[in-house]
This record gives sequence, C-alpha cells and structure tokens, in this order.
Amino acid sequence: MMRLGLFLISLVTFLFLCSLLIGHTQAPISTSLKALISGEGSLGTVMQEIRLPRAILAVLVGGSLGLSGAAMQGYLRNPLAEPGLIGISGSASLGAVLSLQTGLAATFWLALPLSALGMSVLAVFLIMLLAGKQGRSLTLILAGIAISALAGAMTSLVLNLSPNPYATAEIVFWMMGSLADRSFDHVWIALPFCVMGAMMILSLGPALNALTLGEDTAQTIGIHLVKTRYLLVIGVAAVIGATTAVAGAVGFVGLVVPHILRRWVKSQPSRLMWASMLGGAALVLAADILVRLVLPDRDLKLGVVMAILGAPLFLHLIYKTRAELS
Amino acid sequence: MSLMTLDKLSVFRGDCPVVDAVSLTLEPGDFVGLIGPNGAGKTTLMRAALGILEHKGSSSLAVMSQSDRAKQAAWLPQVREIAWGLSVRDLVGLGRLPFGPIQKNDRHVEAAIIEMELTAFSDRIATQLSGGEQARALIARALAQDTPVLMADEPTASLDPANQISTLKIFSELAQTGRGIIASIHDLGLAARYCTKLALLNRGKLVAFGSADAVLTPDNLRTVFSIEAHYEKTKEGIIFQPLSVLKKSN
Repeated sequence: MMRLGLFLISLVTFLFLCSLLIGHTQAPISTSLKALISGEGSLGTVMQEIRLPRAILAVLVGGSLGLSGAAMQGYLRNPLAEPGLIGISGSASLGAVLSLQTGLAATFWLALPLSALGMSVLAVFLIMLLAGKQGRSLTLILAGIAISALAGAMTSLVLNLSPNPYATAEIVFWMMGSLADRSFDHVWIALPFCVMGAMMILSLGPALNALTLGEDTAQTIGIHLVKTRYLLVIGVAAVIGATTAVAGAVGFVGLVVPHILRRWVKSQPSRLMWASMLGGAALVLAADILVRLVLPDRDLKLGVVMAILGAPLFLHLIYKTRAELS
Repeated sequence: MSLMTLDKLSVFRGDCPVVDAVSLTLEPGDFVGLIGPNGAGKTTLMRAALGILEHKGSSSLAVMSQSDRAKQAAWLPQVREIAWGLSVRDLVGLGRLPFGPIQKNDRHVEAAIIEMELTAFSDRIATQLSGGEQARALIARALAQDTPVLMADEPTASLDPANQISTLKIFSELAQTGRGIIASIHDLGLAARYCTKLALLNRGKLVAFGSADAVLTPDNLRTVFSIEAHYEKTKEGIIFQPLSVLKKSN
C-alpha cells in the first residue's frame, strides 16, 4: 500500500516535469528549468505563464475526476458510477455553453467559468431538493439522471437554435475539453473549490468503507447517511463544477482510474480515493502530454484523446472482469 | 439495568400497522429468539428498535445518538451485502469503526475471526467465499463490534447444520457473559433449544414472550403458524419438530 502511494506520487511528479518540458518551444532541460524559476526571457514566460498553469490544471482536473469517481463508486457501491452521474458536469457544461452562446464569454474571460460554476450550484440545489431528506442512494441516482438529462437537453437546444455557426463550432470544441491556452487565472478559480471539495470528499473514507456492508449496517456502525450524502454531493459538485468550468468536460477518467487501481488497494474504498486522486492526475497529465506530441499543430482536444484511450482500456477491464467471474 | 426497552413500538405502512405496539425489555443474559410466520414483522421490529426505520412509540436505542448507539448495539441484517472484494480481516475490522481508526491486529477482530472459525480465510477476498462463509464473516463483523446488544436477522439462514448450531452456541455464550441478543429464527427447534426466551410475533403484535414452554404451546402453534408439532423436554434439551400443517381456520 505504501509502495503504491510512492509509485503514484513519483509518477505524477515525473509526468508533471515532462508536461513542463514538452511543447512547441524546445529547450534543454536545465535551461527550461532555470527559465521556469527565473521567469526571464521568452522561455521564462512560456514556462511560467503557459506550461506551469497547464500542468497544474492537469493535476487539478485529473485529481478531481479520479477522486470523485472513486467516491461516487464507493458511495453507490457500483463500479460503473462516475462523477458525471449526479449531473454536475452536464450542468457546468450548460452554464459554459450559455455564456459562449450569449457572447458573454467574449466580453470578459471570467464569464465562462463563473457561469459554469453558477449552473453547478443550481444543479446541487435541484439534486438535493429532488433526492429528498432520507439519505438513501437510489433517490440520488434518480435525481442525478434527471438533472443530467435536463442539462443535456438544454445544451442541445442551445446548439439547435444557435444562429451563429462560429459560436456553434466554439461550443462544440469547448465541450470536447482541453487544457490548452489556460492561465494562472484559471488555476486560481479552480484551486479553492478543488481543495475544499477534495477535503470534504476525503473525509468520507470511513463512511464509504462502512457502506460496503450496505446502508442499514453502515448506519448501525455510526455512519450518518444524510451527512454523508451532503458531503459527497457538495464535495463532488465543487471539484467537478470547478474543473469543468476551466477545462470542459473530460470523460472516462473518473470511471477508469478507480477501476484500474481497485485491486492495488485491496478494494478498500477509503484508500481507493487517495490512489485514484493521484492516478487521475497522472492519467490526465499523460493524456495532455500526448495531445501535444501526437498532433502539435492541430489542437487535439484532451477529452477526445481521453475517450480514445479510455474506451479500449475499459473494454480490456470488462474482458478481465468477465474472465474472473467465469 | 435493562439493555434495551421498547415501549409500544409501532411501525405503519400507510395506515396499516406492520409492527403494532410492541413493548419488550431486553435484560443482560437474554438470548431472545424472535419467531413468527413470514411477514409477521420481525425484521421491521428490529430495524425500528435500532432507530433506522421511522416508528411511533419509543425504543431506548433509537433515541441515542448515532455514535452512542453504534457502541451499544450491533445489527446483522438478513441481506448479506458485501459490495467490494475486501479481505475477510478488513471486512471484520469494519465492526471497529465506531471506536475510532481501525488498528492493525485489533484484538476484537482477531477474536471474532477465531470465534467464527475464519482463521484459514482471513486473507481471502470476502466476495469470493461461499454463501455460508460470507455469512460467517458478516457474523464475525458484528461480533467484532463487541456491543452489549446484538440484533441478528436470520443469522442461521444458509448455514449448514454444524454452523447453525455453533453460531447459536456463540450467541448463547455471549448472552451468558451479560450481553443481550435478539435473533429472528425460522427454525423453531433451534430457537427452542438455544434461546433463553422466545418472542412470538404475529401480524405485528407480540403474542407471547417468555420461555419456550410458555410460548410454543399447541394453541399458539395452531393460531399463529397453523402447524402441529412434537414438543418434548429431554435431558438433551428441548426437542421440537413440526409435524403437520393445519387447515387455516379463517
């Protein structure tokens, strides 16, 4: 268990450095790192204002997706659960799409992330209202599905009625998810939500472990179901709302990473959250490096690469699970 | 001092009482066998007593805070849910959750593993065990909680005869150390032999409460279970064997 932690931490560190060193402007490693610290010259600007925020955002986005994926799976006791299930990413996307369509996003740069965050907050209230006060997970899934469907339909409606083909193209590209051309401003928007949300989610370790035995038994070993659900939904909404606001919707990370790492933490939901947080960060860092290496001039979208990587990986896992079951 | 007091505990489904004004006291040393036909309200009664189901009337457990109750009463539901492939030791360790972070080699966990004869399985993945072995692992989980009160919903279902007997023996030994146990049991013969008291539930009402002699009367068996049975006190303990089904009178 210790070894897995060390491995994941060194993997994230290694990929973080790679992410800093790979890009359009090529320079020797030592020169790049010196420029990163001093900030001098054009290379210094590239390192400090383009690559560093991009790498940090990759960690934030990946960590958030991995962590909330593991938490959702643990809470719902279902390996197919993922952060998008409660409708937050769909709602955040809708907020972003609305700001792009209305042209608000063009007037000042904060408009898009703020609109996405605002929509996530609205979604949280709706979900809590719909899910009722009993704290059972089934009502939460149903409420989440309803919100997701509604947000998806509204997004389609905006695209459908959009009179401006440029705005439509912009919306479609934005929805594919990307970390290109982000700045420290984006980091500062996402960071507080990510830290707060992650702390809320990580505090659920014992509750998720207890839920292995079902909701009834969990209650009789001291787990407060309603409190657990509040922490989970608000925590997931904070991290997913914030990362969708700055990077668009990136799929598969929250689904695949916990699935890959589960066997290495002896299936303990509490440990899986930490492992998936690191694993998610590593996966998104790697995919974002790949985006820059494969087609450096074509602005390949992170979400697209993630799905292309994620789907076969997932199929492989299904195949392996099937072999274990038979 | 009693371990649990229920006072006119009722649970309604719509207007229909599923548990109907049950009053009952659990004393240290009691091993109460909760018996009654399907749908009599056994599970509902226990869940309401634990406070995890909305109810009228009062239960001394339901008014406790969640964390205090977890130290007072353990619950073993009938549905054997193990969502993830935890090792048996980690699974049993979940019983220590109310007492803070789970320690490695916790003595309660080790004792429960030995008690349920799971030593050979302790590092195996719980979801890969057979149904009976999983049942034993979950009983061990409840034992590890080491609470004054233990409530179990059909703990002997899906166990083989040897494991049925040893499980009920463990419960009865626990009761002898001053704990109170309530277990719903369908096998009236086993209930009669190992429980110190029987509580007979019919259509949500507590029809009889007391020793096997007082509860398993031909009259009660006929009106509640519609059966006829052989009942004999021997030096090997009570022998109870249902013989035939009676035509329902209504």
